[in-house]
Amino acid sequence: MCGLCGLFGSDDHWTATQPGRVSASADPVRRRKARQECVAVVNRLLAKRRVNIRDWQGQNYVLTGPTGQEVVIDTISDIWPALEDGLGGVFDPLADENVSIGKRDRP
Amino acid sequence: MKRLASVPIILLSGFLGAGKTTWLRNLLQQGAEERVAVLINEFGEVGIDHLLVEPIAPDTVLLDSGCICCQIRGELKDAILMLLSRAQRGEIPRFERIVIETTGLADPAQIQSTLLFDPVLRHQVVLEQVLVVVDAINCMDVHAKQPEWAPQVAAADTILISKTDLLCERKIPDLQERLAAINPFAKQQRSDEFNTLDELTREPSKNAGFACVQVRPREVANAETLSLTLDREIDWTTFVIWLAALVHCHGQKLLRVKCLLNTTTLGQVLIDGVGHTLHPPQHPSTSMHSGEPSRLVFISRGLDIENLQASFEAFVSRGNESWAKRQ
Repeated sequence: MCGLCGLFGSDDHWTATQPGRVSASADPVRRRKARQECVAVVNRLLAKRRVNIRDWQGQNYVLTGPTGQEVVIDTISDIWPALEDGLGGVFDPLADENVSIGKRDRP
Repeated sequence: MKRLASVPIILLSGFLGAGKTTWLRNLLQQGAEERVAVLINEFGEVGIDHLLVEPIAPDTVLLDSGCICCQIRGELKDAILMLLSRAQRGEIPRFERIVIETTGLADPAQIQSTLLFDPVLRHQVVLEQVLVVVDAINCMDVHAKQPEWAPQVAAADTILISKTDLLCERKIPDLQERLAAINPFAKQQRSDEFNTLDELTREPSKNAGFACVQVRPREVANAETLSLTLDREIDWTTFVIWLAALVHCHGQKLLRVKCLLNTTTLGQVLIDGVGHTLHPPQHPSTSMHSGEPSRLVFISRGLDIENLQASFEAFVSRGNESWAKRQ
């Protein structure tokens, strides 16, 4: 845990881990930066659905649906089941409409 | 307090009758200097395999609740922890390695998931290799028609081909090529080539690098392979989010994902996944030369490969489209 900001360095899902480690970077600044980059990419992908995500205290993410409904999730991978659970429907990266979003909105 | 090293685990899989128990029994007999604990899972109410192995490996534990992949993940965890605990207390001799023999119908991905992500197990054991025994006589004609077979082969780090003495020698290269079409990065060995587990695991494992043999594109057991090479660096964050979405939506159809990536922020990263289970990313132990292209292999069944490639190029590619070439 970071002594300054109180962040638990326990983000151990594979999407957050640093290569060679079992969890995310112990450096809180790097962790925050990595999370912000994830947030930016996800928001770009889901903008058309009026769904967005934000980091919450470097510990969780808050997913907001088109009606304003909010769900707290733990990892980036939890976005997809949360979407299916009433926040905008299935996001299939192979579906034509999503492929065109990816093509158009890539950085 | 001294932290104990993680105990390596070898996952031994293969279809019914492929020769898993025979191979294990022979290996345990020959490698008498190694201390190995064996966990055997059998499908059916009466276990037999453990009786064949027990005289050689007294630490054999039979997991008798049926199919290991869907029913006894808790029992598997308990059995491993019980073995570790008994060894620490001195009730059984310490062992250097655990071998888990699955049923012939098990999906290794489920077991890998338990070993990798269980909060207790993952700090005490490490999955060293997935060995899959393939029957040279029956695999293409009989086993390939069963839905369990291709995921087992796709999950392998090493494919052990058994019963090669019963097969005409000139047919073996074709068999090897067919197996490589399903799993191009698994080592292929004849099952009688090893005398000890040490000998087997001394060869570079999956984490040591990315050895991908070039194979003619062909469909075997309904499994298709998409191989891509990239000359550009990949944005790690975008790739991770795309892959997470892909695995969530199509994990059951993705038999295996293995990628050696040149990333913009993290350097070289090795990704290895089976179905819904992704191993934590690693830096490869053998460094790529600078400028060497990234390589990605997706083995799937029932997934539209053209769509997969289009999706990858759309989400992850940056720059012109010509950088990704399908092999």
